[in-house]
Amino acid sequence: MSKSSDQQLRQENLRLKGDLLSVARRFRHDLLSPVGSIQIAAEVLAQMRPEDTAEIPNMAEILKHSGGEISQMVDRVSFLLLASAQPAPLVKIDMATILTEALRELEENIGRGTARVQLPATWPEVYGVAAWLHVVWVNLLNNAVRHGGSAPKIVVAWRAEPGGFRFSVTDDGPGVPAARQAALFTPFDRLHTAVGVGLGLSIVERLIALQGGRCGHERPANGGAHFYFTLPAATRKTPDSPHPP
Amino acid sequence: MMILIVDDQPNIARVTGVALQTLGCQALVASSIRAAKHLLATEKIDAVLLDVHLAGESGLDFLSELSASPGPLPVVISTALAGPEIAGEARRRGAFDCLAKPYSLDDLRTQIAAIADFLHRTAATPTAPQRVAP
Repeated sequence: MSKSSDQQLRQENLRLKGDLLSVARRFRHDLLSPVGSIQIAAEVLAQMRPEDTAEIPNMAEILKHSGGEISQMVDRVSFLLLASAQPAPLVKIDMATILTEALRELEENIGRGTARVQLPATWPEVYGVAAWLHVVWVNLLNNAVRHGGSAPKIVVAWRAEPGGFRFSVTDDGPGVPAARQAALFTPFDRLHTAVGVGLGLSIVERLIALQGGRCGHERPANGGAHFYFTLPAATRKTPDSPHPP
Repeated sequence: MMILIVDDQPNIARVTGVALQTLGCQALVASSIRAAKHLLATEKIDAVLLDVHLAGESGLDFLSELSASPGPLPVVISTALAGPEIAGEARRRGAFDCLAKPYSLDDLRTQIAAIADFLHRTAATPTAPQRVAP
């Protein structure tokens, strides 16, 4: 076996072990809160006297939301692990359609937060995996809506760069605290070592890496937050093994 | 008894608050350390139920701050990563006890009883140790 193949296998092995640890520790940790909510809500309901009905709607809402949280978490992590285990071929992407679908999914959040989203008039020709890019855009846009302040202005843009294209989501909110910037795109296989780091951007990092790109964050000069990912110029091939550890 | 729940997960915080009320306590909820500090400064809090892993913040560091403050304020650490390392570190920093998630109504009942007993003994003997459970 060649040295580079051996090294590639070692890196792949490390990544897979990291994934397992992240599921065993971080995913387990994140699941146990909504599981705990369901258990305690059920116990409270079981001990409720017939005349104590005031809390029933609250407990029912908690049961519903916690069940939804668990379902969403399982969906997100299983999606990522499937993508990692079974790399999909890169195909020509209709980015306009992917953005439209992502915005439709976030319609309720965008409307509630009165966010304004500005989109580019045209898109470059890139190759990728549509389902993965949908998840990437949903995560980045949802973050901008949630953390971009009240009535955020969100700008979606792209530019050419050597070897490919850079896509970005910029908001005019308070920005990411300096102390949290370094850990924003913690790779999923290292998530088990990171405390207080969200799952969403780790998922984005993995999905973009699987398509040969990279992710990053910058703080714009006039404030806010600027998240970006790159995709290589169109080459019709199955993606290489994911990023090195 | 007024319990301050410090947890950034809104559902678990809310349902724990209701559970504590069914156990005869009052409860306030803070989703961040900053909010917790505000409530501690403005409300009469008898004990704290503190999640170790708050979004981007260290519950253990806050525990150290609380332990260094004057007055008997039992702080029970809650975590889904409960294990000897976390529990040991929490006790070193002055935790009253550790509660592993998911906890049950009985777990909360046991904690409430221990806290009530501790506060009663502390009030009776002011020179007794201020924070750590026996």
